[in-house]
Amino acid sequence: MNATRRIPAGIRASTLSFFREPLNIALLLILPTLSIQIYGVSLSQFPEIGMFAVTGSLTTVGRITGAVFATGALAGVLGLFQMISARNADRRLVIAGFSPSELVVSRFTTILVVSLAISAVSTVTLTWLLPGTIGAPFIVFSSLALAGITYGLLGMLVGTILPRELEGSLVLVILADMDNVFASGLFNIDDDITQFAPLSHPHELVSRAVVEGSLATDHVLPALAFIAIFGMLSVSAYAYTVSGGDA
Amino acid sequence: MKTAMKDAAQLFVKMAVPDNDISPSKGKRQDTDLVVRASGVGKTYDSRIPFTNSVNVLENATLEVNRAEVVGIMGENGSGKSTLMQILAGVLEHDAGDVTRSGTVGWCPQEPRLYDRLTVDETFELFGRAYGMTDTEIEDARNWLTDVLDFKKFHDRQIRNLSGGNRQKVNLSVALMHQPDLLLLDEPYTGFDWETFLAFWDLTEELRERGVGVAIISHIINERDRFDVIYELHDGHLHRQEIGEDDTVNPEPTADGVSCERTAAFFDRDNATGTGQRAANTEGT
Amino acid sequence: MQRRITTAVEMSVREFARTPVLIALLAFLPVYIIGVFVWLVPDATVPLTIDGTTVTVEMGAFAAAFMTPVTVAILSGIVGLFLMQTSQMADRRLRLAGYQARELVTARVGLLTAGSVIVTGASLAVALFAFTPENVVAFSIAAVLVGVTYGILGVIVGIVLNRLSGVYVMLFAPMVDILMFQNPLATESPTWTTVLPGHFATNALMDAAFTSGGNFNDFLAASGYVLVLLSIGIILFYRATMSD
Repeated sequence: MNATRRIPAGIRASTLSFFREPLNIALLLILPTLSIQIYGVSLSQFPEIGMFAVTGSLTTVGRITGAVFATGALAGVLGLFQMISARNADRRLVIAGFSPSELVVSRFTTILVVSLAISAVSTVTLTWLLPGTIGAPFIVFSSLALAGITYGLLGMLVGTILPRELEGSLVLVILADMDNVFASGLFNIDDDITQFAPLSHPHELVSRAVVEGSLATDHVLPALAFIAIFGMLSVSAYAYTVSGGDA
Repeated sequence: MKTAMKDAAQLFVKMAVPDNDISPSKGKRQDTDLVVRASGVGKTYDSRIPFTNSVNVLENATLEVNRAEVVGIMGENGSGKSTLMQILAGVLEHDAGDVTRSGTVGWCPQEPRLYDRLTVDETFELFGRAYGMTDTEIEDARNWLTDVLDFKKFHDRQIRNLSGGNRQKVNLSVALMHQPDLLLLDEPYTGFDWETFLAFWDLTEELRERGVGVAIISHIINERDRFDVIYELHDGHLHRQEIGEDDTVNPEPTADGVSCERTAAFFDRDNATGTGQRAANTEGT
Repeated sequence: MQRRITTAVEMSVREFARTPVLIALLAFLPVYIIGVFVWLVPDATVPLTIDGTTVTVEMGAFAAAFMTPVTVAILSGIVGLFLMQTSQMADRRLRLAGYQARELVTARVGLLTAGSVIVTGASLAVALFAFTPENVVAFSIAAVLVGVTYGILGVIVGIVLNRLSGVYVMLFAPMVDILMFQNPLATESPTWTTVLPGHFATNALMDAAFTSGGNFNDFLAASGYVLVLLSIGIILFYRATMSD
């Protein structure tokens, strides 16, 4: 079988594996709604005194934060478990005739496909839960997709370095939680520092698109840079694993 | 290995004298030879997901194991053998019928239910304490079993780092280290090498001579001659066959007068629900 | 019976001690979670609402105090979960072999308490390095209460949910409960947030950190919460190891 048939087969197999896991479906359907609502309610508790450098109401900011977090965390979990569960089977596929590069392409396309699906669910949920209309829905979707892809790649990286369900999840979720707290502006931390939090850029992009309907151009490049860095790291880590580099 | 077997057998007989009794229920042993009897047992797995079917695994299954008897339970994959064995062991509830046991039970599940991060020695210690054995008894049992099954050199290794075959040896050992009256073995020799496989059957022979009732789930057709009785599980029903009498399996299900009709199983359930579990609960406490 | 309990405790301690990655994470995460915030927050003051009174405190001190219960809750929850997940199937076999439920419960509760106290200790060490609470003893007791509450919750979730769902619930629940809804920066918390597991213990903790630390009712209510959860946990554990 040649590569043009193997790659779609690989993508199909790993996408099916994702959608056949009931927990994944449950998370996909529930987490965005839950996260958007909880963050919305949560931030509305705080007094609206210059503590947050935000535009728009705190409830809106909260819901945006929730959407960014849900998208990132979900995609991250997917990336993590794809690495853990596919580890040995993938090596077997290599023996069966997949070249490592074909597998890399199919794994990363899967991450891309599922991240886009998650972002679409988050966008729809956010549109539904926000009181007003969203300024630029397509920018919202694309920005959430950036958050999803960033964390999908990060999840794969964590899954390669720490291929255990409990420990890997712990690291990934703590990373996402902390990142999100920085990105949300809850602690009013300096922008010089928060720019190193990967979610801060998608967060800003989504906020600007929702509130002003415009593109926060200064955050596009940093967001893409994070994807490039995590992409390179996780591709090398993954290629190393499937080519039998470690036990 | 052969001498080790012999020593072990002697040790085993020595350990099995009545004043060494560790079983609370042994004293109550009836004069019957029966160590376990399941009658009219039914089990249905309800589906957790709505709109999907629940699965009837066992219907009106009846089975007996006597002292000094080696019973085989056979059946195709997924026919409910392990379910039946878990019900016999008292770790799984059943929906209908009765299970009565006399004496202590040793259960060797198909998936070794052991603590991954404990060593072999620690596993013996923990389960030995559970069985109420003294330190000396635990040590004797450990020496005997690691010797017979030939895994002494792994005594210090964690369960998760053992090969499949060696893990299975620990699994089997935990089931029989306290010399139970009834041994329930779910595919006990999976992963055994040929030597160990033979050692296992020698061991079973010893146990039979000592009067232990042994039930073994097996796939190996060639091993039929090693059993006194074979039960075939098919479509939820058990068919009994005594080895040495005739070669064919009795086409009738075990419970006399009740064939495959579901109504009969449902009728039985009304009278019998819950009694088996009570029997299970009175054990090991 | 005494020896069987000690054996069970000893064996589970050994099992836990043989998870070096998890232990390293449990030791390192308090430094990361609490330390990073203390280090990064700006030099400013924030108004906190504690038991109806408003106090103004340094942002760094607030971060150290408030991230303590968050960290303790996450880590204790994971310890509780781990305890259940490694042992549930084998516990059934151990029951069949002769362990009584109450012996196993005693062993597991003992170990869980020890685990919670240890991860709480690690978090407290980092927090107390960064700031000095008004009442150190009350602050520490409140932190232990948070730890035990979430440790037992971890056990309950470990019994009720399967492995993976359990991990995710225990990773998200403390964030939602404590970080978001017990946050003393908030001035308009909905009343339903007071029934969340972290409420009373976190209240007691923030009180001990910045005001008197003498609100006995919070400690009482938090202990009551622990007892209720413990009873639920024991019932569930008993049922889970009885049969499938």
